[in-house]
Amino acid sequence: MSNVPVDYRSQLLSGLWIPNILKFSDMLGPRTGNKHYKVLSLASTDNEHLEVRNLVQNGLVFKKKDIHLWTYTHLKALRLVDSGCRVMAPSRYENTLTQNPQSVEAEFPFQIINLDFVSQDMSLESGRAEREIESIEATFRLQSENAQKPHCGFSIAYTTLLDSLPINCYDLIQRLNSHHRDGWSGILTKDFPPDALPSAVKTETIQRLLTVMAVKYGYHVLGFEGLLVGDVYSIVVGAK
Amino acid sequence: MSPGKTKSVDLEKTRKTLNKNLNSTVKNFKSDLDSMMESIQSISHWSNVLQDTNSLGLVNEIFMDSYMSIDFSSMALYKYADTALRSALENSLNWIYFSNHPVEFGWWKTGDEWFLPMGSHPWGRGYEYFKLLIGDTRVAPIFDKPQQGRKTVSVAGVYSELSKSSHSNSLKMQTAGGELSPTYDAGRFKEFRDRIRDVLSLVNAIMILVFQDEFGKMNKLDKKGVTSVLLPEHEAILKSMRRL
Repeated sequence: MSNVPVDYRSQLLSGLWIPNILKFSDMLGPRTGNKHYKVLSLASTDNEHLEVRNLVQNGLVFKKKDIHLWTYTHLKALRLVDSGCRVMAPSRYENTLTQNPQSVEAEFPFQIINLDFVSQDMSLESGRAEREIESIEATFRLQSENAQKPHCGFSIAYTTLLDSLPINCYDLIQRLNSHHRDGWSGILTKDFPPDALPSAVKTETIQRLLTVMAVKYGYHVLGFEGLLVGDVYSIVVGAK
Repeated sequence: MSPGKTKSVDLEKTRKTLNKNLNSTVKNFKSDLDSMMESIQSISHWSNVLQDTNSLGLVNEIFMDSYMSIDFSSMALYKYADTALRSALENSLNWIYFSNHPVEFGWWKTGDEWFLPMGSHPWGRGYEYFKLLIGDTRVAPIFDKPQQGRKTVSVAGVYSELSKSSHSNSLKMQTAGGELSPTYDAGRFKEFRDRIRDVLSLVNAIMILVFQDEFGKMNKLDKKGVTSVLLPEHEAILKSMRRL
């Protein structure tokens, strides 16, 4: 049985997300009153948009219309209508980004991306984490292909549940390599364990894959920081 | 006419009546309403695996048709609830049809009259198109009007019932019973509750039959959300065809 603390989001907000997003934002350049950060956040209506309030309080976002909330069901999307934020396609992020990224392409790029898959109802079964990571690959691709000039940087937080199932690195890397990019030789499967388990190996695998993806799409990794709360693992990566 | 007695005031007054009806429905049928709201989420589950279909945009319309039908019924607007529900059923069938007909979908999106000659419909007489698409005669009870003595919930049967409201059959009129303002009626709400259950079971059963690969790719939670709305008789047909 996985351990998901009720207050994991507030722990991650204060202990990881806000401090690191602030740090990477400073590294990306000075923030002025005119600078709008555009935010994408997977949102569950049950958590009262904690991250939205915190981002506003910390001066990372000035206008709620710059915050794009993504939820996975129509009912939840309807409940978010009066949030003042832009509510995006009601479907699972990982499904849309891997199968139909063109449907949301126009919304990219974002300067802060918070992909908390734990906040959505997760189906704990084989292939879940692999689909999430593949959707992050698509996220980097959309960020890069739609980047304004000069190539802008961003912070991305990925939050997942470390359950008892391994990450099938062999299949995952094959899928990631199937997304061609000129000059990119691909990820070598031999550099990763075929099945990532236990948790320490999983977190290291996630860290390495995220940094490799950033490099694949021409980003320089400013740094990364991870935190484990119960069985919930979150990592924030700064990319420029 | 005195300044206070404008038409907008009348609308506000009607709104009070509708809210009163809503309270009565919630008081007497809360678990039914919860269950109806839960079951319309089955539409959302399909949008997760049908991301690459041309006609994906229709899923929002189907959801809103279904949602508004519940909303209308809860306020005792039973005729309009049926009309919205019929739209949900039609749009679901359109979604399936257009997923295999991108050119026709393009015409439809621009408002073109793309239908076949007068009197015919691309779905075919008796929903022939869907039966051919599924390619199994065992599916007939899901589409055909039930024969006497049999009571299978079918598209033809439900569509015909919902159309009575759209075409103002005397028994389905909003003002049936002589009341001008919408009046809460437990019996009519129960009829609607059963009809939306039938429609969602039909839609999801047909979706499973047509999009079997995509259904196979659904995660466990979404799959459970879809199969939980199936009526036992539809479930039995799908099982006999080894689609569940």
